[in-house]
Amino acid sequence: MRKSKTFPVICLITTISIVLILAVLLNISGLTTYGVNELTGLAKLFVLNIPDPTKPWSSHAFEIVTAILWDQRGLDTYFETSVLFLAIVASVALLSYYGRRHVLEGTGDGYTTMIVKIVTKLVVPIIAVVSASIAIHGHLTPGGGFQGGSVFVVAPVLILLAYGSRFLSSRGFNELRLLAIRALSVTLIFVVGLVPVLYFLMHGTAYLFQNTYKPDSAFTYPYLIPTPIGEILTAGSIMIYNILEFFAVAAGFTLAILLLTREFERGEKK
Amino acid sequence: MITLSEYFMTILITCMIVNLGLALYGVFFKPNLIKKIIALTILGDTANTFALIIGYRMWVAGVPSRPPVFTEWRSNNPLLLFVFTKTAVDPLPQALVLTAIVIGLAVTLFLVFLTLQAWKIYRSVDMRDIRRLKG
Repeated sequence: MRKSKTFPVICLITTISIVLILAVLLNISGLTTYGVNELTGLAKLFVLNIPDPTKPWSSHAFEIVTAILWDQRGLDTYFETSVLFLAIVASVALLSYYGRRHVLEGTGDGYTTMIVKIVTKLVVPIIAVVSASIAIHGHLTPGGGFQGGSVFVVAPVLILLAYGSRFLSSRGFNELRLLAIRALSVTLIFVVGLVPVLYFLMHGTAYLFQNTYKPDSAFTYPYLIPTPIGEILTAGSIMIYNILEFFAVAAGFTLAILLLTREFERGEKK
Repeated sequence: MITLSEYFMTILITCMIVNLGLALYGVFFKPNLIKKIIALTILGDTANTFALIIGYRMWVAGVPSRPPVFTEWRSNNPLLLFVFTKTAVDPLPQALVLTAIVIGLAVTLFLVFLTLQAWKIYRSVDMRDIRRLKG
């Protein structure tokens, strides 16, 4: 970077001009005219078709956003999950460059006082229950597998900050197991998407990542399970995807944060 | 006369444009890699919020717009679905933003680990130092 005094001024002027041009463009293109009171055609198609069980392209789910993610564009979402998986694998590979034996052991004992430790003990079970609820009810209420998994990761972060990484590692949260859970969940998501293809090979027409029956295909996951008390609404494969994605995201982010905390603790010892 | 919701929307969009400027400044001109990553996350969140505003809709005659969750589908009443279409927000930008958030998280995670690697090799996360070391 240059030492001259005019450089920060040039930086500032450049940024401000970029932002002003963007603002003018946004206003011209009509993005800020938010008062449009009609849905677009595509949105109307989704809103009218997904929740209505009488329509041929229905997903039998309350929550339209999750239904779009896992039914209407399920293959897309699978690849998005794979991107996250690859990022975590690449990060682990970067860290283990300097030898495995450092990675496998934790050294820290926590950095906080008694107050934080006791509050962590109280809050962690509640966080786990809330995150599981968000994931399992993903097809009924706003939420889903990714959101539930992200909420769950708060619990390991609290434990790592209050008790240190050795506490988590000694209770079974070591990184090989976490990576195995992560890989298994992503594989199972793909297997659930692949079951219709097996049906196609044996019986008749079915589509990759198909959820419920379609006009030309009789294959369907059970979307309404009758019980003596009432009917359980599972929205086909969406609930299975949500639960698997919950485990995948929770294990993956716990692994990443565990490794970062260990690096932090190792740097502290030196 | 400007209504209250228009007033809040104007404040929101002004703040987001300022946010965009700050994030671009951070990504372009801050030498510290960690600060660059923080600015990048702010930039991504601002872009996502713009995408969400595209799918938002105004309140019609004081009736608030609903999230795209249709809870009356067992009643088999087409009129309810019609009313729902008149008040629900657009679900498609929300689905796309969810995907964008996941991808952004993956990119951020990888960048953090790359910065950690740079710190291990060069003992610095300052762009100027790293540039001087490798020529």
